[in-house]
Amino acid sequence: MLWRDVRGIILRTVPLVIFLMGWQVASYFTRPIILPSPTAAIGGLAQLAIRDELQFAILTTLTALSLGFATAAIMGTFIGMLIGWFKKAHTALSPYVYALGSSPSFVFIPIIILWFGIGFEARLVYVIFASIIPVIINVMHGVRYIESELIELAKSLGASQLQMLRHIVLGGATTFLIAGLRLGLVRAFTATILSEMFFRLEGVGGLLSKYSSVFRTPEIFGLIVVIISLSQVALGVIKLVERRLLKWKPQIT
Amino acid sequence: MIDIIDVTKSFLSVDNSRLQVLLQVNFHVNRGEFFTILGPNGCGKTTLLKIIHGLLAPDSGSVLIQGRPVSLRDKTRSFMFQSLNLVPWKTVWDNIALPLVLMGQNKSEIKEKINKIIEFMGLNGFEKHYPHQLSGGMQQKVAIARALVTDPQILLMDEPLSALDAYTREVLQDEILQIIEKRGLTVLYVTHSVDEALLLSDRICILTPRPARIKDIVAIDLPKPRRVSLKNTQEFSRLRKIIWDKLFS
Repeated sequence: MLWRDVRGIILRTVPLVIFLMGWQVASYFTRPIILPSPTAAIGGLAQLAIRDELQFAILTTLTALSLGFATAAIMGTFIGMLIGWFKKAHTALSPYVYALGSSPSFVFIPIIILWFGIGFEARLVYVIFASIIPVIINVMHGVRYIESELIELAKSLGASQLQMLRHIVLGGATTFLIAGLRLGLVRAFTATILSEMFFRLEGVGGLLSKYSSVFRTPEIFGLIVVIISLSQVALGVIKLVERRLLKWKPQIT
Repeated sequence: MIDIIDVTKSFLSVDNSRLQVLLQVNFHVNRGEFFTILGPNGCGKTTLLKIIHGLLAPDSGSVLIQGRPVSLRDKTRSFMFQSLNLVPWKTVWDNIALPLVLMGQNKSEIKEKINKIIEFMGLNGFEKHYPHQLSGGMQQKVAIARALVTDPQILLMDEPLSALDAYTREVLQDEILQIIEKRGLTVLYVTHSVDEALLLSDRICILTPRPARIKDIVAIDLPKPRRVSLKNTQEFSRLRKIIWDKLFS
């Protein structure tokens, strides 16, 4: 490890330490039900972990998130390629894609509950629905910005439309696809937690809802930290995917 | 082998007027011949070459390859682009494999052919590199390998060496000469370099500025096999002057 890396880690730890110290100090002057100390929050989490409640909740949340987001990523790439590649499809469909993309997805929650209930399927549908649009939009853009020279190359080799999509269009859109995956993941995570809080109580979001209703503040704070950590893990996975898909690019950092 | 008959082409320009690019171009290229199209920048050389490959359709006139209308499905021709057009996310190996994959050949067949061409072009050890990791000259070799891997009879080359430095350019001119001798290819070559045209060609077709028409077709009877050192001979200088005069008269 280089000194530069070590220094980076130290610099990034400083704000966290200051924050935790400030939190600890502030909690001395506040009633625990309003602001519990960081140690109390960790204690609350430990309580949940001892009863296996936390592990099970995390597993439930990650299952819905990964299944829903993977489906959205694959379907979104496919749909985005088709809409981006076929001019008529783009003219006909892109305004509706943008309209859906710029409206809050939670307005569809009542309909999703009506159609799919409040169980696992409903959560899955909501996660897919919320996260597929940014993937579609980005892939669509990526396809439209592919270098015309590469398309001409494939033509000169007598490629069919299907071969063109597979060998040229898909690869050419990866940079945009990654951007779409990042945006989509944030939405998918939000949708997962939201649906756990407002459909049937499940997963980490369900725990948060449950302990909120009985004013168990230490658990609430502990769960918030868990949720933030999970989002970082998810983004880490995207980083790995990015490194794998874009290793052909010059100077990727 | 190749007949270009009365080919005329115009484009719609930005102000919606017609821009005449090619006007009634006629010529015939023999089997095994190195035929160069020489003309000033922007005269329509590339357009003509793309029409011959079938990438663009002429407004009128036709292109016949061995008596049949040209088609992109026909794999006896390879087209080399000025900008090389290597696929940046494919390795050297996958770039060379692309024409064969698109033809639907099976894996073992592809492997055998690529190994052969990589050996032939001296690209061993670079199979797993991506295009951006290679020098300009190496990228050029990959593009040549990709063009040759389908074992074509006709090679269409659009200023393939124009992006290289003078030294690499001469090295590759020699290399191209050797490849073509070894393989007995028919070549249609586009360039604006008189020296390159003289060194490589059996015949040079000189085009006028836009709209391009054929000004003259000159046979180059320099002895073969030719090497870059030929550029220093008196005969070469004499021919250079003749071509220059025709190009700018």
